[in-house]
Amino acid sequence: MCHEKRSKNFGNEIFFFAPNGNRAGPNPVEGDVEAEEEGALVIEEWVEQCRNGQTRAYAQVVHAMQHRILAFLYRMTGNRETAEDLGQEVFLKAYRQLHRYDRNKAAFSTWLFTLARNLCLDALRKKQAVCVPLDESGGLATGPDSNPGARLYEQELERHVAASVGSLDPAYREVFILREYEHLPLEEISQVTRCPLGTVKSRLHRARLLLQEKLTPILYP
Amino acid sequence: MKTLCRQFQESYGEPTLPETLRIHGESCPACQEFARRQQALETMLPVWSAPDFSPDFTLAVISRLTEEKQCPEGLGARFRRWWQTRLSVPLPVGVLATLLLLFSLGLNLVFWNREPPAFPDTPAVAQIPERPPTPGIMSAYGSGSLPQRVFFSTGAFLLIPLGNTYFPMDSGEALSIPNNGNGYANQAY
Repeated sequence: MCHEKRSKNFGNEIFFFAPNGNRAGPNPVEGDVEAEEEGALVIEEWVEQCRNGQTRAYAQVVHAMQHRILAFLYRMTGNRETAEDLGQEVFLKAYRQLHRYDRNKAAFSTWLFTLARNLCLDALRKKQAVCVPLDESGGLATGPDSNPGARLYEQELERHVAASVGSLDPAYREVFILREYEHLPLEEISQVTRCPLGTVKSRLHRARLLLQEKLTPILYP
Repeated sequence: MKTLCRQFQESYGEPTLPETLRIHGESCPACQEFARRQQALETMLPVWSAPDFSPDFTLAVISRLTEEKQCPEGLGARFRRWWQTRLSVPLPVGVLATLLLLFSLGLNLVFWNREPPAFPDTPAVAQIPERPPTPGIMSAYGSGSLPQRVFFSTGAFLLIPLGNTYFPMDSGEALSIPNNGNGYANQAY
């Protein structure tokens, strides 16, 4: 990975950050609760700095949060370009509305997910269609040593999972993605979606049942 | 049992599961099957991973913020954004609702209370010579029945506060009053 630093003039200040660091910054290792809490604290500190006028900290906030937000938007829309466009809008809107954020009510990540979810649903409503392109999803074992048969199977599996999740109603899809892919607690999902906890539980259950049904031929061939 | 199953399945994967649900999950075949399928599903989900996003994403966001700072949004652009986010749907709906309200009020002005009701305790009514008793259904549909029908059929009466409003009784009510079918005899009106 390239560790060359780039600079960007932002107002009268200069930012430095490493490019191509989707998992860099205070992003915790999945499952590590302490690291997660520490990462969240660091982000809250940066946000506080932004609100106190130190706008350079916002580049670090964006850098730290971008992968989670973009991944969520990608899974909701099924399109990388759309996810990146929406992601930009999310971070711009968050910057404009930073004065509205209240850390006593919710974590910054929760607030950011709320903005992302609202913008995404608006975009989906306008487009009236969600497509999950099956040729551009990433993360496959595409190394030269990997078995072509196994690779093909993985691709097929990924195609099925993406299509099945993408075919869910947005109300179910958002809850499912936030829970199963972003690993948000149900209470936070309730805050993001502005639904009662019972509704969140019910939608998650329904989404799970639907996906189990759709993927049964693969689960139990 | 079904409620327990639902509760168990909805709470599946939560770190703290109530004891009753945990015991139920261990003994219920349907819940065990759900858990087995869910575990299988969870092993499949990571296959759909997010792609590598643009390495210049942060740069792009900061560039746009810089642009915004250097050239702040004009009044027109702000209004456009405000219109798109806040007013594009509610305003036409509000205008339609207002038009409907005005239309209903217009109907009220034309048809409502065109002929004032004759209350039995008013002197004017007292001077009216007593008519021979008629069946209730005939008295309910008096001379002003057509405008009242229009009034009720438009649903406009729903817009009127019910406090001091006079509503003539229908034939059913009139017949139920033991006063020879005379609807106006009810003192509540």
